[in-house]
Amino acid sequence: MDGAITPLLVVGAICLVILAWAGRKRFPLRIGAGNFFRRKTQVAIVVAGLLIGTAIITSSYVIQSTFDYTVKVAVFRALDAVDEVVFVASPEGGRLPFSAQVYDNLSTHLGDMPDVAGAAPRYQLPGAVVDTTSQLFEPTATVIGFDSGRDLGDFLRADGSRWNGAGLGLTEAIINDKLATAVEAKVGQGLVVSMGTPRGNAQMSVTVKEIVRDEGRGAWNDNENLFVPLSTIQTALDEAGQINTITVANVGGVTQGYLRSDEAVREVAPFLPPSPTFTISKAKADSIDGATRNIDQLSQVFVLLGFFTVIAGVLLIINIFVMLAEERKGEMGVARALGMRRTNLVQSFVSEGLLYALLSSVVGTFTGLLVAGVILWGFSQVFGASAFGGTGFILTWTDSDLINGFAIGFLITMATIVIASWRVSKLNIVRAIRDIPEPVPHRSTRRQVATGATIAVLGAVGFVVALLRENLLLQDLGPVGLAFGIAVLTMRAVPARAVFTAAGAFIVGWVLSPWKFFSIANADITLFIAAGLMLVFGGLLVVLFNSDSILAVATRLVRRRTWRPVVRTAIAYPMNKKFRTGATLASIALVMFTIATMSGIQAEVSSSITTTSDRESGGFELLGASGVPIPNWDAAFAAYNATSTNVTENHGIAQARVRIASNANLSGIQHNSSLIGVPTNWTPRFPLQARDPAYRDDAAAWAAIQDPGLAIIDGTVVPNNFGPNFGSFTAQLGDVFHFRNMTGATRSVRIIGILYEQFAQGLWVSSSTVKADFGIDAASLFYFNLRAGVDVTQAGHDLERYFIAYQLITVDIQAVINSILETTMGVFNLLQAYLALGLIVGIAGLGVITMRNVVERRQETGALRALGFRKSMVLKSFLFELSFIALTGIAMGVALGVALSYDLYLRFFANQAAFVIPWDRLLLLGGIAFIGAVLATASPAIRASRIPPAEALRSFE
Amino acid sequence: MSSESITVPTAAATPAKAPRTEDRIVVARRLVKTYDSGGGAVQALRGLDLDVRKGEMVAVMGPSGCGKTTLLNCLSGIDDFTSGEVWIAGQRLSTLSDNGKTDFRAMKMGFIFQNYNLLPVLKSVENVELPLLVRGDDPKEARQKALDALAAVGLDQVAMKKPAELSGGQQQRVAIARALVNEPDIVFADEPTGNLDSETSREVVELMKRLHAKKGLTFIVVTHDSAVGNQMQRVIVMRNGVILKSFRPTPA
Repeated sequence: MDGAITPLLVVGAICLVILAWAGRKRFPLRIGAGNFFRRKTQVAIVVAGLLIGTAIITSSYVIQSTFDYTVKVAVFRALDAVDEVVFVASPEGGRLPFSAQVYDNLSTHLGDMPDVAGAAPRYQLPGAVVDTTSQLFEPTATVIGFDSGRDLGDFLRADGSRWNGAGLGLTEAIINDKLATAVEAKVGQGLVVSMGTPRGNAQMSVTVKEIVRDEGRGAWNDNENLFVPLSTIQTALDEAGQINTITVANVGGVTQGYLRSDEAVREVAPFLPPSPTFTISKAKADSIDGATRNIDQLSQVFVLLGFFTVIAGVLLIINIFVMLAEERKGEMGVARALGMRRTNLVQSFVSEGLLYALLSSVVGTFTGLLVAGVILWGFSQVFGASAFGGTGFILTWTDSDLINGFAIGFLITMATIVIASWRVSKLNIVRAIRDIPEPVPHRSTRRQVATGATIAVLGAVGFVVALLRENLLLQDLGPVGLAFGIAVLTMRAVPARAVFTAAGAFIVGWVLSPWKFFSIANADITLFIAAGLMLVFGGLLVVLFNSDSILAVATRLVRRRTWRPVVRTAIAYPMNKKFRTGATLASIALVMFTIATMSGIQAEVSSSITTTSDRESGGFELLGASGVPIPNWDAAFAAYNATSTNVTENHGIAQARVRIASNANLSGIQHNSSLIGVPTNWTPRFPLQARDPAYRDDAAAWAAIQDPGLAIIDGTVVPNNFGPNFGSFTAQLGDVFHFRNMTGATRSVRIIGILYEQFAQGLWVSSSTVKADFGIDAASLFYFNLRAGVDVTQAGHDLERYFIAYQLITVDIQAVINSILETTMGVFNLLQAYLALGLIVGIAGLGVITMRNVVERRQETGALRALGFRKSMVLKSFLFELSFIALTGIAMGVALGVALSYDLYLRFFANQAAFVIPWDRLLLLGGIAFIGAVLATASPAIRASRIPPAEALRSFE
Repeated sequence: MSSESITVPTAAATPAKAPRTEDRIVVARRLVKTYDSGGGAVQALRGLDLDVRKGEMVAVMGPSGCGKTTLLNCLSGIDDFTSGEVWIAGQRLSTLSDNGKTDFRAMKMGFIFQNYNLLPVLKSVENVELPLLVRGDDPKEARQKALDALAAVGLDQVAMKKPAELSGGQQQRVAIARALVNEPDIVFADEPTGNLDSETSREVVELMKRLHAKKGLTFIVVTHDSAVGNQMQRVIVMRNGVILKSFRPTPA
């Protein structure tokens, strides 16, 4: 709450300043408040229009808080009381045993560690579990030997009671729900547990004593867990007095302890022996950090995409206030004639706007909460109940979320209102009183020249800066500013239509141009947003300054004679109110642009699935990984093959875990990675997305990694700027990475290729390198191809069953890719639904415009009726006009979105699939937007058509 | 015939009880118009009778609130009357639907308003051709007729300008061109000089008189300006919703 006080104070201060300023002479405040309370229906409509921005901002805060809270809850659940884990890493990525005295020594010094609450010894390692009754197996369980008197936290029995595991017999085991479900185990049934150790396999048989909940201690690492007494596992492994893990809990409990991880690591380290090399993993803090980083990228996408809707909302606010002012033009003219200063008009508008801003921000804040709830419900549908280890999304918000959303929404609304008020207060008293249109200036005013020159100069400077600094945003923005500035500067010297059309066309062309100075391949989503705004701006210039051509086309299209006058008036009005029309068009076009672009990218991702599959799978159907490396793979597989004819091709690959760094002395940041040893007799078919030009093709590059100084790296190192990144670091061709081998000597590899593949992450080198540097030749990564017609899942289970002692697990590559695609499409759909909220802004804008038009054109409508316009023609005229705006906005947004999609396609998808325009989706969304617009405006249009002509004209008398 | 097409009512549709209208373009009998206001019913027209001959130029004068504009609205069919009857060019208005009256206005009537009521978003020529497009004329022919009409009122030079770029007198002349472009049988003008200075008023009245003389149109002009009234062939003076007197003014 503390962090939320400042925004509230700012809002309060602004309110006080406005009240003091506008209330100094009382009457502006009274007029403003009077206008606000005068028309309740109008207030409701205006507030509905204004609240969208606040709702979007609040919802993005709430979505972010929910994501943050959800990932934390998932981590808290998985690790319970454990904050750090102490172990000795083996080169293969496992844990080496060490003396239990290390723990004893540590525990006797706990009093010297103010941030550490407790520690416990464990022997835990991956294992395969077979239920002797059901005959079902689970190859990826975790077997944990624990000391019930010392282990951290408690088990939760099925009835919810807590238990520390005391009384567990030496041949008994506690299993969690997940494992019980996987092997259909029940209390009293026997289990056979296989465990891989650096010295080979070990087995033990146990009986299920208790099935505990996947909470508390039982939830460990969100895995299928089996707990036995520490001595039982030590006996099974023949390692009496040895443990391989010390779990540490910090002061602060389950939810706050991780905040002291740095201090705890510093305090624990001095009490560990110098040899072997101990690792103190900040398990909980690192898990939260990693999960938060990924989920934050997703929530950032929401925040950034919401920006389009906020911009659309700002345009709507301007539109609403300009129209409110036009409606009161006569009153304002009279007020000015009676001695009211321009400042007084601004004061009355600002005080009225203050009420609108406060009301709309409050309502918008709670609407945002609702929106977030709906979006998160959608997310839970996409990710399923198993998301975050079964935690699911928990709608979470803080006081700060709501207050910040309210305050930012209020500030944006208020700032827009102040600017709009200043603009509308500029009026000619006589023209305002007599309702005479503003004259058309024929020469450039000094202000226009100065504005044009300033924009042009700023654009030119921006472009120069872009060239000097390689700034991607200014590379676009500079020329756009220059073009628009020149158009403003010359708008009276040459026909405005010509210069603004040229400027608009240039802007669209430049933003979409593939021939720029710097590649935007690594641009992030902010550039996409800026590009969107610039494209819509350019498109608006072209549309607004070519109304004659649009009119001509529309008139030609409409051949029915009774429609001709309708079309003429319907198009002439919006084209003569360029600002009003432009703001509304921009609102609709901006939102449709983002939706169309998103749909385009979605279609490309979907249509490139075949290519993605080929790239990810390398032509293989099954990927396998074993918890225990399988020595002499060829012989082991031959033995398996004697029992089955499923597999037609196989490759076993040895791996070693390494920490790599860019610096030769391994100082600075180090990343966890693997060396993936490609057998000398195999040339993988995995295609490369980047290859050192010294190698003529991918096969040559694969052949080259037999050189111990060369490597190919997986595709996660290439940043993905339009979605979550799953890589922990980035790399480019030619980068050199360094690591220490098992003797401590530094080795280096240069990257000569980057894969698309992301399943097996690490540096692909030759198997002889892995053997030479780490002494590992047992395989732990496998690729299989199957005989045609064999069920992939069944074949995988067959392999898992055969190699259960090695805890082999297999993955149907295509199924995983399909599942990822499905989730990706779901997220895209949600993002589009979120963006579609912005359409409400556009539709509300049209509603406001139509209502204003009906009032503003009352006399003209009467005159038209006198001249022979039937009621139906008046109705058609209004409906055609709003349809024209809505359809133009939709068409412009869709056209620009498709154009940008094509641009993105050329950059990112061209070599994967043909360009696809998702017409069905675009037509559906465009249709919904159009129908919404018609429904929102039909009522005032019908009302206008029903005004008796004499009544409309009566004001003349 | 589609429901959107415009039908031109003919005298044949007139009921048998219609008075003889051979030489009269406007016939009103016992015309009553009552408004419901907050304070009760207000009678704007109280059983008014009126006859206007074809080609006549009539001024309707009287103090504010005497029912001048109401009479004009009822005669032109842009407002419904409470009782009585109106025949325009032999057509009994009460037998026409709203669309029928609208189409009838488009074919037979022209209007000139005090505030000109040009559409500000259309150019002068577009304003003038609008009644022709409403009537269903070919766009090219409509454009030529509109240019001719503007030339007739001396404004062919400003055809492509919008109303905001014209003076008040010019705007009213564009409005006159618009009223005459469809060659109506009758032109209703409601305070056509109300917003103009005396010199411009005189020019506008002269223009109407010239066009009247040239085309033989019927004009019914509501005005409170005696200088305008005196330019007409006949002046009808109204008070409290009835015609007080009708006389032929003596030209000044």
